[in-house]
Amino acid sequence: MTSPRSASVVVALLAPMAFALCLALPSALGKPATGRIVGQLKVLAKGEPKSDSKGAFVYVVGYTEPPPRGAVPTIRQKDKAFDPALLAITAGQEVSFPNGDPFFHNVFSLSPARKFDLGQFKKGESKAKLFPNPGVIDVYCNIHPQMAATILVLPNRRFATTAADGKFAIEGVRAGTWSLFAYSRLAEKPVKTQVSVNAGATTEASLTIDETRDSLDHKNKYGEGYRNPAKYR
Amino acid sequence: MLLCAGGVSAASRTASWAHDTAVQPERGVELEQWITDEVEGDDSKIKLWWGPVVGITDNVEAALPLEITREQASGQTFLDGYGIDLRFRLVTSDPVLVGPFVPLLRVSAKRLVQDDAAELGGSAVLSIDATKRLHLILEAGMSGVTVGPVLESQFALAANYAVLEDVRLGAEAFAEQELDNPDGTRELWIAAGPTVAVTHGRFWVTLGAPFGLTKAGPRALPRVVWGIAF
Repeated sequence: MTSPRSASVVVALLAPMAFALCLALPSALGKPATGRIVGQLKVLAKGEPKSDSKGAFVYVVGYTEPPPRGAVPTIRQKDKAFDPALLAITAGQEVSFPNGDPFFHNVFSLSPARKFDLGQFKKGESKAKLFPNPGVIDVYCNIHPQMAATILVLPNRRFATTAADGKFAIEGVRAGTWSLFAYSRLAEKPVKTQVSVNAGATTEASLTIDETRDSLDHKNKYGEGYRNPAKYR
Repeated sequence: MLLCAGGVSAASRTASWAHDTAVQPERGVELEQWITDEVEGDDSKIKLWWGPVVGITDNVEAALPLEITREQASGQTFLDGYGIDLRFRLVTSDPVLVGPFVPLLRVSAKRLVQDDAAELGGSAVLSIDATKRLHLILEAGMSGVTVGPVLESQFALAANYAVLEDVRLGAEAFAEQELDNPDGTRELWIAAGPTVAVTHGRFWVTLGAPFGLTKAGPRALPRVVWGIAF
């Protein structure tokens, strides 16, 4: 039988150990070890270097993360344009589409990854859509053919937009070997490279993407050409 | 049903008699028309249902039909009635978020011009996307006319299969049972037949060719239903 004295000795010995374990656990079981990726995306226009590489997205593929909490990403409809025209989000996030023009807009997508039609809505009204699965979703207005935007729905939160000189930095990338993609709306498809990220270290990467498309022509929501774009108001 | 939609909002009916569960998006407008040929003995009546269908919200649409009848025997054409048909889809229209079961409630009110009466009705519809291509519809409803009065219940069952992206082949059966009638009869009318549904961009058309299976009611009821979205 254990005496009260010996029990208190055991507690006195175990308590500091338990305390030390509690301090060590978060780093051992909590956040995974991460590093960062920095680099430069060279953007070409039909093979010729562009002076401004701003606005392309670079993103990591290979693992999933839950979407961030907080503000809902927004694509505004203003002056018959979507703003921003390219948005990256994490799968599971909603995007809101407020109408800031004094006339009706529609928002629809025929992209296989996410078909939807938000109907028509007037100034001041806003509709939202959930994007539960990764994919590239092209978004248009059925009334105004000049309106086009793209939503990159990504598997995690590790993405960044490029500066005018093409430089980018992605923080908090889980240690491991991943695919690094770059996406521009006028390129036929994203470009890819492999990166190995070490905990606490910076990995450098460089990519080149060629914008070979002249425009982003599209059909209306019924799969037809817009009848007379000049007449749409 | 969405499998056969060329666009994202073609609110097609995949059966000619049973109502379906797709509704117009908010402020979406579609012109819908039904032409029914009721063949009974040597006589036939051609009935036209014509009206706009407007998306009130993404889940509620209203149809404002005008109904015209042409009696072949008498050679008369007359305005049969007009009214409103409200359809409440009880789950989201989002194809990613919606499950295989889609319930819809329908209520209608109609003025019967020839009888100087009113008809009130409603039904509950359940569509089931059993697979990506197989679409089932169950409908049960009731309607009553103020003159008489006449009260009857209706039942419909439809199944169709997407043989191509925009083409569906199927069959449907429907029944009307009189519940209350001044002449004391309680007639039961059952009809069944094949259906073809085609979607082409903003346009869809569904053809049904049911035949009467009971003594009461028309011998054949070919119907063409079409809609065009704006």
